[in-house]
Amino acid sequence: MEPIIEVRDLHHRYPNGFHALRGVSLTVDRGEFIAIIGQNGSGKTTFVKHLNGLLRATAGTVYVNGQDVSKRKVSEMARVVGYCFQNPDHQIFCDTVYNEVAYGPRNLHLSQAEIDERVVEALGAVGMLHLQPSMPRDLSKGQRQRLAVASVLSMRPEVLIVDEPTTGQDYRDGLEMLNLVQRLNQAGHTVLFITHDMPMVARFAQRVIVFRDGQILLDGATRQVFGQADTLRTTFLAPPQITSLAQALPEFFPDTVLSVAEMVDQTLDTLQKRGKEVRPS
Amino acid sequence: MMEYVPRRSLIHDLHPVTKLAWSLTVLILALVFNNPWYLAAVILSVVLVGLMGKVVKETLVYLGAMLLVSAFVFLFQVLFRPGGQVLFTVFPSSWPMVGGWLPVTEGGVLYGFAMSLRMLCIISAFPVILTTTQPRDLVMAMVDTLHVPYDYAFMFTTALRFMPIVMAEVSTISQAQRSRAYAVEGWNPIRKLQAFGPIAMPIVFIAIEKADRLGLCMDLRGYGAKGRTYLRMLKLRFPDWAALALMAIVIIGSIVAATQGYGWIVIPQ
Amino acid sequence: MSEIVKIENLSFRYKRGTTLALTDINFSVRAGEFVGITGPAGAGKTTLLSCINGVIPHYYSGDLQGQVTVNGLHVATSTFRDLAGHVGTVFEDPDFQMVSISVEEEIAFGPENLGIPPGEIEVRIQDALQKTRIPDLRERTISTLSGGQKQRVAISAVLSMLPRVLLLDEPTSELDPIGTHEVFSALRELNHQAGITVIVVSQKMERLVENADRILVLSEGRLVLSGPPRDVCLQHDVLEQVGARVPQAAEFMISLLSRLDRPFRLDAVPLTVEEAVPMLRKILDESGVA
Repeated sequence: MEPIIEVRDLHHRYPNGFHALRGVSLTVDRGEFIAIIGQNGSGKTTFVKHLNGLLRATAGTVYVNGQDVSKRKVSEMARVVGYCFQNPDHQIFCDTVYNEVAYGPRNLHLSQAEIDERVVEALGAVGMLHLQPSMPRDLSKGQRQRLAVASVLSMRPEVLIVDEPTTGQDYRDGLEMLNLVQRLNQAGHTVLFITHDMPMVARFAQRVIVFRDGQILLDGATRQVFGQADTLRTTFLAPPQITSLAQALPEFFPDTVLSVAEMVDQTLDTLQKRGKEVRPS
Repeated sequence: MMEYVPRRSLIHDLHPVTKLAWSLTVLILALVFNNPWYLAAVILSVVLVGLMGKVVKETLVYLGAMLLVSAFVFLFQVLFRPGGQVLFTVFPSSWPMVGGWLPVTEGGVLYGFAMSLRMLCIISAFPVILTTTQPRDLVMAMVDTLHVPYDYAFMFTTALRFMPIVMAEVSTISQAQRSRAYAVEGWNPIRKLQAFGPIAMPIVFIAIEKADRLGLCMDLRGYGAKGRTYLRMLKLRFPDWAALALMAIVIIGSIVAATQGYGWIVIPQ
Repeated sequence: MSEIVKIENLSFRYKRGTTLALTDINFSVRAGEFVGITGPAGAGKTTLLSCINGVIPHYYSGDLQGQVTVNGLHVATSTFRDLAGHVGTVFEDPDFQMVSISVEEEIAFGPENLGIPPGEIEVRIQDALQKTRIPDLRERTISTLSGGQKQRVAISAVLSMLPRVLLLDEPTSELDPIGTHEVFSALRELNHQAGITVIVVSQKMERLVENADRILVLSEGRLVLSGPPRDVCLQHDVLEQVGARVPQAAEFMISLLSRLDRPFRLDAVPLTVEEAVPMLRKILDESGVA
């Protein structure tokens, strides 16, 4: 099967001369759930903006769903790539939730019946069907974020880009967002999310791409990437605390640990093998 | 373009009040004369001051940008303020119906030059001042020396500081909406106005919210009471007094000259 | 040791609020303490800070019960100008809390407003930059700085008012990992070297437990937990219930010990990976063949 995203030797130089992307290449298969991490200024956001044409390559190629993005308008790419911006207030402007979610499909000049269907579908997916007539400004921050996701979902994109779903949120709202995104991935969307939250990456992402100074530093399965703590350190990133703890005792934990539960299980296994008594869970 | 350029120069060292007085002098000269040659000379003098301030490049770039506007002023005057001898007509007389319309007259051309040069003259001082004076010093000069209320002077620096940030927010909003297939297509002005909503609404809400937060932060740091001091309290020194004296002479001299008929031409009606 | 912030029987309802934003809050902070405040969205953390720096009742009015004193001053009856010299606040958004173009101007802004003589302002600027370890940023334009740098400038800009108490409302939530590290390091330094009382609201539990002397957990307007980091981590079920995060090292050790049927001792709760390593090694070594 053809990959849904194919990027080859992508370069981007901003008008002020800053060379933000210096030769980025990667492929993404349909249905992947990928976390993109890196310090601010490393190129993460610049990179994802090339996927729907918001930014144009200075050199290199970007193919999404078999199409050359450089030959497509942003409004055309919107049907394939949905971009959920970090701050939902950057896009919310309608008087009702329904209108907000309908805005995208209306721009695609769909029939009223089609628009209705999509709005119901999108709001259902984010659990906000009952809020159709509400005023977006009256919603809580977490609800507004989900509204923003719904208004992107109604375009029925194959690929979803989620920019920092947990930044500036409390733990519960952030978790709810990522659970939602995971459900969407399970429903078939290819998901790329940008984040600084390592435990969330360990919990949700199948694959991690690390950016540094406009290039990809690491790209692989989550366990594999977090296993390379020394490399991560070169860009001042650290794996989740529990991973670091296991890495400090390699004689007992040779494999990368991604969660507290895993660590507890592995520790208890080791202890049991050594004849220690353990209370069953 | 109009940002402070940190350099060492004679003009940079002058007190902001002196520079403000200079822009007033240029304004007076622009109004006193209407002879295009005299006005051009005033503009040249401004460029010379820019040279002394080592900001010629920035000054000329700005004036170049203003040329388009002044060209419009010129065209407008030529076409709608006719007087005196007709030089030619835009529509040749041989044409049916519109033949001989829109005459270009001697008076119009002279008036056009005079007005467009006058406009350039009046605005030419600003880039020189803004590129050679730190906004905080302008604020201090306005409040401390000229007794402008602090709130008004402060608005000026605040606008300068937040313009780039607000522009960045607008850019993000635009990107977010374009990602939902927002596109402003065609030339239909009604459509263009409708298309404002998705960009204008979010920025207005964000701006109001942030302005509120900013106001709170300022209050928490004691903003608003009388007796404000400034880290840099500049004083008028000898070069400032000399410059001010020179300006006074130039103003008086130019008014006298104008009443004697120099620098003033009669434009045929 | 003196109590620099005293909150007694504090309850507050916003003017158009239907429920109490804060209910019966009682706690005090000693001079020089580093206090962390955490809890889910809407728990009242920002409201609580607002009651300490005077935003409530001077900016947002409502039904205020109880008493808050800062360095001896009653917050409700003191003006912002009075309070500015005792308590300073740093907010979440690096861009919309500073008004000036350059770092130097920003740090001078507060003292200028108070009419401090220029000579004294100069001294305060140098001092503030030293305290946050950013003297090299003095001439920089704020818009060219990174998030972490901007927040440290914001801290300096508040320090030049010479407050004894520094309040911070989610100062790192918009920052990347480097920025977060820079800000918390600066706070630790300020607290240890300059003795400034620091009260930080944050969701970054791992940073709070490694820096704070005491952590307060708020939920639905009430103070549900208050104590040294180890004590608070021990109550991990309460933390989970209110939606606060439990640091992974602590969660792991508590979970492990409970499965091993071992009794809990406070010193068995690690606050950092460095603390957890020897604890875990001891448990693993104890059991097996050497």
